[in-house]
Amino acid sequence: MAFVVVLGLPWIAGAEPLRLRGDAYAETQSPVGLVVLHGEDRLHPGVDAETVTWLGVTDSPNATGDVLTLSVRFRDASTGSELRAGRMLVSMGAVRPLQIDGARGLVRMFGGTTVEAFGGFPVARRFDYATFDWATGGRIGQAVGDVFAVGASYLQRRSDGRPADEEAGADLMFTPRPWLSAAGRAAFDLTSYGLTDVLASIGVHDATRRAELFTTHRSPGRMLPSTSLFSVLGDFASTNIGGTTRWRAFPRLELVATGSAQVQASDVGGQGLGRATLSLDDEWNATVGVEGRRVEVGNARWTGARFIAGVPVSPRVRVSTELELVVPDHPRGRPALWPWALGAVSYRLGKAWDLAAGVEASSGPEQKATLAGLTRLSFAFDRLER
Amino acid sequence: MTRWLALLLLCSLLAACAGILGIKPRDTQHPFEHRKHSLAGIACVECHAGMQHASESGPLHLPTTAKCVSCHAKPHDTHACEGCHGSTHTRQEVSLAREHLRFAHEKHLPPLGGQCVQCHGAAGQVDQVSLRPKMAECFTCHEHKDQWKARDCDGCHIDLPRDLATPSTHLVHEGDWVREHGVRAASSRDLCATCHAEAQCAGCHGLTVAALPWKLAFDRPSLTGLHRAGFKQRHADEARATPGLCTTCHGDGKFCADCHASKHVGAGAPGAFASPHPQGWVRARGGEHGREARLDPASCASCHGGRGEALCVGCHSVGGPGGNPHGRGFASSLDKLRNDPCRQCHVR
Repeated sequence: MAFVVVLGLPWIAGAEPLRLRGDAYAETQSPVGLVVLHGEDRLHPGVDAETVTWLGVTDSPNATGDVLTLSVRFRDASTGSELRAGRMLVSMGAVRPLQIDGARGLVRMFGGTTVEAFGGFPVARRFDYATFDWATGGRIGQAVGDVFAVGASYLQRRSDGRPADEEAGADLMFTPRPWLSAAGRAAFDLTSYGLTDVLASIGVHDATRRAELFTTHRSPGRMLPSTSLFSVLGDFASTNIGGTTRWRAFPRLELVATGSAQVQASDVGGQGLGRATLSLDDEWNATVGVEGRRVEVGNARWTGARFIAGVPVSPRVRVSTELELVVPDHPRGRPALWPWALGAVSYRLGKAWDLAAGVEASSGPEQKATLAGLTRLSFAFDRLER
Repeated sequence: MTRWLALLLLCSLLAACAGILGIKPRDTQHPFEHRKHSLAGIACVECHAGMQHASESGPLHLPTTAKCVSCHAKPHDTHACEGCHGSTHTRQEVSLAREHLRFAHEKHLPPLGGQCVQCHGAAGQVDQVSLRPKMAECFTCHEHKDQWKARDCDGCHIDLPRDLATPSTHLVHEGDWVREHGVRAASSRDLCATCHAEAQCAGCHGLTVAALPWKLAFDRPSLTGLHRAGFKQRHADEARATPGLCTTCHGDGKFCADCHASKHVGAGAPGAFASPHPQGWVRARGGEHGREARLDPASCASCHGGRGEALCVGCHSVGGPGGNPHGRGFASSLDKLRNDPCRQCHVR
């Protein structure tokens, strides 16, 4: 109903741009059927709205559905200040992202200072809200041109009136040269004092190459809501240090390599990934790729390989495939090889319609063998007048 | 099953390699020979007639076959020139720019003395694919500092998200962007929002997601994502390798437990399988379970969360045989007599 109301407004106002999209998806395994409706519209130069709503039928007898986003934004173009109300994802600085039903505002002040605040009710699936669940927080930031930005953020969430999360965070972005950029963020748990989550990254790039060094530090117990018994046991934080490189070796060949070492308590491990993508045309419409991955952290030890290909065989028809093989070091009663494969064909019917069908097959620790058919019918509508 | 997999693999490989194997007709298009024409002393506006008067709207001023044959009087075949000379991609790019940019050549050419290459330098390259100047090129003359601060892109861009022009100079989405985007967005969420709608963030991070983007776009294997391919069957090993990462999105404490219970792998779930834990997991003096719980508490919560916590409380309540489960230096702002979860053990 809400979807109809929001999408009904633009027809009255004749506003631009307007984007509507509908995807109907069916799978022979659960979820059996799904319809996702997506709408975005600018009602006025300073007002826009968007929504994503879905309905689904699973293998249980009941149909179900929910709203992913449904919000209206009011924006002052001269200052960039804005207010958004409805269902949205709040992600402010270093504190954890949260989906809420409520409002968030951003005020840009003189000299590059921004103040953001939000408040509302943390989203519960299928509107299954508990009494006195609420969240609030904000961020104050200072930017110096597009070279430097720093911010401090805060989040408090209550569950049934009791403290569930309380965090403070700091974030930083530094781009002294177009080819050099650095960013970092750190969140501090104010319930059981300690660092929750720290990420930092520094990257350099030119037209064909990019290199990045990164580190993460995460306290798994503090990531859980404070209402969970497992959040008060004390934990061993994990620290990762690694690097990523990307190299466009040839105009049609791209290579990516990522590796990191991880330390947690007395355990030292690491993981690495290498990927090569070859394009069969200059526009990268047709690509084939191979990927290898090795994970060796704690008792998670496995090697994986992946192959992907997507090729248009005509202006309307495209075929694609994806294959994955995982070999665990210690099967522990599970199969020694976990293959997964998908083959798909898509057909574009004019500008608006798109039909895709595929077959997915796998064998792994959960089920000895599965085979599923997938189909999707999509409709997209754009209206834009200058 | 093996035969089905082999057949699927063979069909997919054949289809994917159709172009290489020659099943697909060869692509005869190639970039237009701008360099050759320029070196021959032909001015851009001879072919792109009227460009010097082009406003924000109107025709694209791309030459037609009739224009080509006005010089090339004896064409080497009877097909339309643009079928081979110049790529469809370049023409689509021009069309998108006309639709999504507020730009008038008539205002830019006079101050530049009619020199198109000041902005379209790529025309001098032999194998140019794109002739659209990068945004940094605009910023060499236009500053737009106030618009940048206010994230007001509407002065030049019309419906920016649908322009399909990836930010090649001022924001690079390369390398392992799925991992990196969180730290970049922390300070610049409003900058991300100039192109990305709410639904794009909520599409992965939202609690009420019906299906992740790559589940719906199963025909686009190049779309990156954390849960691609056979993630479901290796999710336990993925979670163990990155303690705490799953909780950043699945942090409500119910996601894992609800799914495990429905699959009969949750502790105490009707029809649950036998305990997956090895011998010595719980012993009179602790056993392995305490250390494992500190390494990955979310893994314990995925089966023993919610009502399952009673199992822990049975031993670890104050005065119980399990003793104090808190780690060294434990401190909390929670009221142990009033707040959950403290009161489970401390109020007896």
